[in-house]
Amino acid sequence: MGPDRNEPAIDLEALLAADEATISDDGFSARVMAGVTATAKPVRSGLRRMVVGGAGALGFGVAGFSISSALKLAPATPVPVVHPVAATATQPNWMSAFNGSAVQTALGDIASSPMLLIGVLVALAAAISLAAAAMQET
Amino acid sequence: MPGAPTSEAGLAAAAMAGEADAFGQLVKLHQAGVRALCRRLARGSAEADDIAQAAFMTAWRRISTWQGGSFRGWVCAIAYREFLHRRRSRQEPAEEFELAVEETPGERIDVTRAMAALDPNERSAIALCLGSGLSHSEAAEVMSAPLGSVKSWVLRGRVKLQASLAAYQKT
Repeated sequence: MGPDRNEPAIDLEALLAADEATISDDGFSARVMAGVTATAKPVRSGLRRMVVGGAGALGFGVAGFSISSALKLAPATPVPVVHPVAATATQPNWMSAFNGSAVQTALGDIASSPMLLIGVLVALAAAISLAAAAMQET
Repeated sequence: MPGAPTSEAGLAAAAMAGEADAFGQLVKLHQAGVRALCRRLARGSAEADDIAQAAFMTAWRRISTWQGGSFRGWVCAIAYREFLHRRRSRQEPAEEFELAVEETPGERIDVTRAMAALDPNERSAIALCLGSGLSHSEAAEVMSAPLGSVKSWVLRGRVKLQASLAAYQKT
C-alpha cells in the first residue's frame, strides 16, 4: 500500500536531520582523539612525494653521469686480450686485462675539476639529507 | 587561538599537515552525522559507535588521500565500508540482517523503526543519500553498485518510508 497521494509528503531529510541532532557527543570525540594521539602522525604526502621524487631524480642524475663518463672514457678502456699465460692464472681474463687506466682516468677527471668535485659532494649530501628525511617521516 | 582555521577546508588542510587538534575539530563537527549513519546500518548503538570510531581512525590515517569535497561524506563512505567489512567478517548475509531497534521515546524511534523495515540495500542507499548527503553517484561508488540500482533503491525506500511514517502518524 503506497502513501495517500492527497497527503503532504513527509520531509524525510528533515526527519533524518532531526534524528541526527538528538545524538550528543557523550565523550565520543574524546575517545577518538585518544586513539588519534596514540597513533603516529600521518605521513605528509607532500614531503613523501618530495623525498621519493628527489631520490628518483638523484638516481637519474647519477645514472646519466655514469653513462656520460663511460662514453668519455671509452677510448681509454683497453680491449681485453686473452693471453695463454693469463688464462691459467687465478684471475679471470677480463680482470687481468683490465689495467685500471679507466678508473684512474675517471678519478683524475673528478680530482682535476673543482666544479665536478663540488657537484659530486652536493649530490652525496642531497642523498644523505633525503635519506634522513625519509627515515624521520617513517 | 588566533589564526587557527575555522572552515572545514581549513581544518582538513591543517589535519593533512599533521595537526591532531584540527582533526579533533572535524571529529566534533561530524561525529553526530557519522554515528547517525552507523546507527541506521548497524545492530545497535554500541556497535555503531565502534564502527564510527574505526572510521574516524581510518580517516586520520588516510587524511593525506582526502581530495576535497565534503569531509563528512568522505568519512561516511569510510564508515559504510567499515560496516560492510565487519558484516562480511561475520559472514552475515545481507538478507538475514535485522536491525535491533532500541527503545527510545519520540520521533527518532519512528524513523529508525521505519528504516529497519527496509530492504538492506534500500536502507543503505537512504542512509547514505538522504541521511549523509551523498549524491547518487557517490553512493553508487561506495556501495559498488550501478547508479541505476542506487536511484531505484532510494526511490523505493523513500516511498516505503513515506508510507510507514504516514501510517505511524495516523495511529
